[in-house]
Amino acid sequence: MSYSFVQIEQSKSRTIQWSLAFLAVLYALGALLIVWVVKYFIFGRVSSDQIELASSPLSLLDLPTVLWTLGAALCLSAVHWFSSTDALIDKTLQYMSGRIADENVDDERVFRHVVEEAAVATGGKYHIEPYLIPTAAMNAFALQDFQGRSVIGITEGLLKRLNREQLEAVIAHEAGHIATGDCLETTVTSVVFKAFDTICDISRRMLFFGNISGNDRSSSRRESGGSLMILMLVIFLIALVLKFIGYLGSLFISREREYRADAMSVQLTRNPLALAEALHIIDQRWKGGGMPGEAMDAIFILSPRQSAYDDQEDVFSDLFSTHPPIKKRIGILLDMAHAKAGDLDQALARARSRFETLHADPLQPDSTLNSVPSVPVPVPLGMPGASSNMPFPLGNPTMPTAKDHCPRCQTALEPETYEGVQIKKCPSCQGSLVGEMDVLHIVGTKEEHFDDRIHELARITRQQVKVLQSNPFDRIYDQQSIVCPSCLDPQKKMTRRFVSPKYPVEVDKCKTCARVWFDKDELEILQCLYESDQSAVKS
Amino acid sequence: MVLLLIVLGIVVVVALMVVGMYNGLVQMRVSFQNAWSQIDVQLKRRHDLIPNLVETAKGYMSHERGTLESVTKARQMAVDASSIKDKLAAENALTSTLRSLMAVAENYPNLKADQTMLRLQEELTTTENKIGFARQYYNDEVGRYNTAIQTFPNSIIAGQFAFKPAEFFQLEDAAERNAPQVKF
Repeated sequence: MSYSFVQIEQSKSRTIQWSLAFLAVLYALGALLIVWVVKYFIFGRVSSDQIELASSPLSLLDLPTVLWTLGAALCLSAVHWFSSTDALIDKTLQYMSGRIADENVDDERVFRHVVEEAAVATGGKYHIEPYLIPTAAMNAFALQDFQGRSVIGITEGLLKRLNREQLEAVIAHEAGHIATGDCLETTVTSVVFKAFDTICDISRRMLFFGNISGNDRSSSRRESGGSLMILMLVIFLIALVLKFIGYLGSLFISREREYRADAMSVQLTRNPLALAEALHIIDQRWKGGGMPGEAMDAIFILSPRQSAYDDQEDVFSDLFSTHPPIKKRIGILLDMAHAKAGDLDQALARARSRFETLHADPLQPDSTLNSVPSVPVPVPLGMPGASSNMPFPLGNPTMPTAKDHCPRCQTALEPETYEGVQIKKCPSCQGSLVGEMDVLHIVGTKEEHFDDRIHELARITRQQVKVLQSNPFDRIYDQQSIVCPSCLDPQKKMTRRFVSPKYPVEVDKCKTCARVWFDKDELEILQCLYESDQSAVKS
Repeated sequence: MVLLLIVLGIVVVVALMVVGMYNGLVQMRVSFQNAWSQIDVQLKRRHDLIPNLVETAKGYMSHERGTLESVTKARQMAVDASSIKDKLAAENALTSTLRSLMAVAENYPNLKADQTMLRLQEELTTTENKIGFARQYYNDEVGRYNTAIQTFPNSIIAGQFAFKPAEFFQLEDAAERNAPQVKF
């Protein structure tokens, strides 16, 4: 391995010392400010006739007061530090309701195996525990604590959508974080500064959704009126400050480490294209914004937060963003594979079909070592022009060349009657374009049978309903995506978002013509969710 | 007197350097030997899996006796091999017999659908991957060690204390060597 462990150890402890010092300074300044404000408003007014006080307000902080305050602040920051770093992995996993991957479930067993492989690939120095986060969001993360315990976690949504090679690339990326040692500093810093963000979250929720009990908030608001408004405003300001402090935590986290981990992944798996595919897939989907753990965005492979900084490279973004621009990461990986952006599409199309065979026959051995000559090359269904070029530049899906062509793969859409309404379906990627009113009709029509995979995806999707309902909706996920195949207006792209907080299925919606684009399975998941709700109501 | 002190100082510094370099080399040697034991663990796992695989396959492909027997034989050879060179040859032979077994298994849809077989195949896949990764790590470490003992000034120490270049774990099989790692 090309990195020196001594260097790693040194930089590790340095970052952690810096963030500890920063925390102490933060507490000291905060405490001084509070003491001064209290003194000024309580004692300052009383003795305002004393000239010396009025002329220099700073003299309120005499030496004993300052010493006492600083001492208290140091104690407080130490308490904060130790309470957040004690058993940090268990607490974090519990916070995200993670569970250890089950040996007896096919997908999860493969995940376990891949994590074991990653541990072997990094020299067997770490025992890495495989954890699953029950959500349909797509993300993966690594955690490490002072005792050297390491965890690699993946969301169920991502696990269900990657083929084995992509999974290997993602896990190798996370193992790279652990092996190069930046995982510990990221984990510790995120955990320590998460507290501020959590407080901010709670106060914001109180602000926008009334007090937590919620029922009689309108009457209480009317009664107390103005003073409540002031209180709200103060809470809001404090929350803003705390939010900012939470962001300061990311000052300690370099964006470079993601490039390093990508490079490690390629060094281990020798497969840059699979990682590029995986990053592209994750980037196109909901990455878990609004879920618990969002505040710890530094530990994830792609930041779950939506932030404009993530796509830029100036000084400010370098300071406040924890991840480098995704297009650049994918570009570097494609360079390594000597591939062009157009190739990624073809690779993705091929990967999709590999995924299909993988899931039709989940334990099909992949073609790495033992069965290269014997595995037939899968041909995607109804994809005659799959090998001809399908232009689809990265992160900026092109305009469909003609009306009613699939926004994902440029195949001509075919009209079809589904549940009694007219929809347009892509014969290649199985996506479909449906009018907004027709969606209601389709969902309302009773469907008897879905296959197990749809039920499984619906189950995962349902798990996040509760969390999403307690959050302001648009903040979580609302992202410009593809060009509507019906309007063809590149200025007004479709918005990728959830159908509703109760039915958090991702779709692309056109605000101009009120049509909705469903990728493969998404319509079925929606139907399945609605139907199980209906049968629950009846029984 | 001053000259004596200077000479003494140089001797001490050189001695410290020699000790440092020697320890560094020993560390690297231990590290790649440790990496080898990692491969060994995975190879053993593969040897343990194969009897189950053959047993399961037997039920479905009774008239492919020859293939099954050659796998069993190759496994026995691999288990018995002791030196690194023998091991390499035996493992390579085992890999190619396993591959032909898998190729033959493609013709038996019932076997391919068998739950035990599917599970064993996944186990085998992950074990093969682990062998691959462990081999990669071992080769990296050996490469580091070999470079170290052949570059100056370490080469002097290595010559004096008999640090010999270590062998890479290489694949003999041409087909496998040509298998592309990056797929398009």
